[in-house]
Amino acid sequence: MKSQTKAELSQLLSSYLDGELDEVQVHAVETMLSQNPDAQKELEELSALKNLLASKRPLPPAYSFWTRFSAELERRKKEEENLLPFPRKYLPVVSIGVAVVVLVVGIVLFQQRATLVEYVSRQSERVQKAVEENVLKGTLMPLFTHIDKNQALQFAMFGTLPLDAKAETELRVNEDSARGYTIDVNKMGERKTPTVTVKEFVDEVKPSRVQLEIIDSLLDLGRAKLVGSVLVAEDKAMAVSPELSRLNRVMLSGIAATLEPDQRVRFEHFLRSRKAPYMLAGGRRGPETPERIYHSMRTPVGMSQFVVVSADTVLVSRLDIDLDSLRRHAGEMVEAQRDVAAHMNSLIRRMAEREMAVSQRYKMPAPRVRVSGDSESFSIQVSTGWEGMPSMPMEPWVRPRMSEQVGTGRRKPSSGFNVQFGGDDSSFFFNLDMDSLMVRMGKAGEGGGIEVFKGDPKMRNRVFQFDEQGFQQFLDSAFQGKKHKMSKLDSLMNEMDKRERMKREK
Amino acid sequence: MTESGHINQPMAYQTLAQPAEAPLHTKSDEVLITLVHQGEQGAFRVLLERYQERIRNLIYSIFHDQQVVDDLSQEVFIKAYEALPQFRFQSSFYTWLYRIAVNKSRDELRKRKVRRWFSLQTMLDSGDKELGSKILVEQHDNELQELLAAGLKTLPEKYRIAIILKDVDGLSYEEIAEVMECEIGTVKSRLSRARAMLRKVLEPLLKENV
Repeated sequence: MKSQTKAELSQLLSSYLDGELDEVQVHAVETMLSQNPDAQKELEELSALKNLLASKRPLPPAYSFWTRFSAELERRKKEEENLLPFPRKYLPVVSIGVAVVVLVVGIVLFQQRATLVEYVSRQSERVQKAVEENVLKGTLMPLFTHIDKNQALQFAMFGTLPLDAKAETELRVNEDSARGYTIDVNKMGERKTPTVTVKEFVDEVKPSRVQLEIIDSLLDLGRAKLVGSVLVAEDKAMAVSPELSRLNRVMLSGIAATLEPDQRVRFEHFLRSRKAPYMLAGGRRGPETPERIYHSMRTPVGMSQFVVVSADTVLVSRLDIDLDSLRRHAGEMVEAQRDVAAHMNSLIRRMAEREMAVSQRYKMPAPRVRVSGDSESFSIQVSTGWEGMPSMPMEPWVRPRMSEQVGTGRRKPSSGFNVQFGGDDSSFFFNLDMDSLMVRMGKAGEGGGIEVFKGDPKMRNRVFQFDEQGFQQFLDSAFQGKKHKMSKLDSLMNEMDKRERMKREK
Repeated sequence: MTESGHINQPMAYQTLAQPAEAPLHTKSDEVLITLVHQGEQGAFRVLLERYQERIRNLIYSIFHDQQVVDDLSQEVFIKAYEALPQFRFQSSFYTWLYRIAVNKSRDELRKRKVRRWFSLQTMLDSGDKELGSKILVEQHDNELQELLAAGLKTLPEKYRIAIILKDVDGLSYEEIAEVMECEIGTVKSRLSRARAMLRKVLEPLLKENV
């Protein structure tokens, strides 16, 4: 074999190793190897490298890959359909039509240019004003960038996320079917949220591998949504998606819907033992299909509305942000710290323009979204029925748990009503809720009221406010007048107690 | 007529008229693609499930970042789904799919500007002899995989992808040339260069494994 450079020799050995040489070349290489110990050593190391690479451990299989893929495909299709108000095959025809219209409009506008110039300058002033006065200034980034699966599970169960490393401040989502939803940001104080881990969940609930894969995907989706739900600008203004207020319940519903009835019993115990504010409500139904579960996590297209809060301004804005790219950019920013500011600024400029469009299209009644607080904490209250509230399809797999202090357990039915109320607050509210079938009374303390849960469809989830004088009238008209209906409740509760007793005896 | 409204037919007639269809998963890629072309969407699912793990592992080998794997694999299959009507059987489906995956990975690499996060080479060259001894001492399976991944990350994109396609995925030179859209000679030199670079980076580890 003629003398070769080192690179040529390496390439020859590499091809020899891959079995890509012809017989003559193989013979030549083997002769050379027998005379050249360095080449022999190199071949041995290359061979070890090849074996090492071939032994690379594969990833665990993704069982729900198709489900996620088809959900994403469907989302994109819908998005595309929404973008094009006609079948795609008509695009060329429509394009020509549009070109003709643009030409005609152009001619008309040219003739009307004086009026147009005046209109545009007025509009651009408004956009300019929006940019200057808008609360979101500077770089925008997600508040939560590093949420792990344990935190996602914790959020699903408790609706809380720590905002700082020491976990002294937290974001808390409160669900109250009577008043809507509140998103609070404040100091945790004494009431520290218990920590939960996915491992504990797996140990106690014992999901199968496929179930765990679905739950894992759910937590992943939840994480992605959380990242996109709270954005912070450089000037400390925050944009919070109202979707956040329901996200935890949707996540928890999804987890519950994945489980078999016996696992759901264990999950209920898992929730109860950690004092989670939710209980399961799925009965003995079988698990849902993964498609339906993922479907519940998807936000309807065009619902990306945010409540933007700063020290002195509150507004509702439709922010069409590509959350995935925002998430990726945030990730890169943490790693690379470059090229993000410019991108984010352009996003913010787009937002200002969007806001203008929103304010023209929708009338957002101020009381529907109420923000209160100070420099240390604030609360965003989103009323039910607000147009901005995303209507995520949600199966009733979970429902809020009655708090322990006000009698979590099933009350023994009483023949009469022992109504107690305290404090000198003149305002009370009554919430009649068909779902709970419970009578809950005697909630004392500040801002307290009496909540009566009762099976009257007309009264379902209705909130009535009474002053102290009107309270007695309410008792007369609502309680006494409908007492015969309450007796049905009594018998139902007797029946439930009876069944429970029988179950215990068994 | 049965209760459900079906006409009872003799077995022989049924067999002739409706030959038992072989399940989709037993069909070849070519047949499945033809079925997708004919509007049988279920056939794409079979194709996806047939190759999803290979694509996921390919992307994982390139990035060694589990967070990227599913997003990028999803993008690969969405691209494949959209482009499948134009697939004309000029190459095998899996090399075509690999080409999409490699192109998507290259785009992502460029976007992320990933450049030698953890260069073992630099550390070894700069006199960090401790790392070399660590490699010798700590050869647990996990660490081995981590070191291998870290070593791969030190390679420039074109060398990294070539060696992964060859040694991890087992593609032939022709297939790699097709996937990477280059000549076979280029594949040979890239592979040789990649191995030389990786050998240098992982030298202490290889000495132990020889």
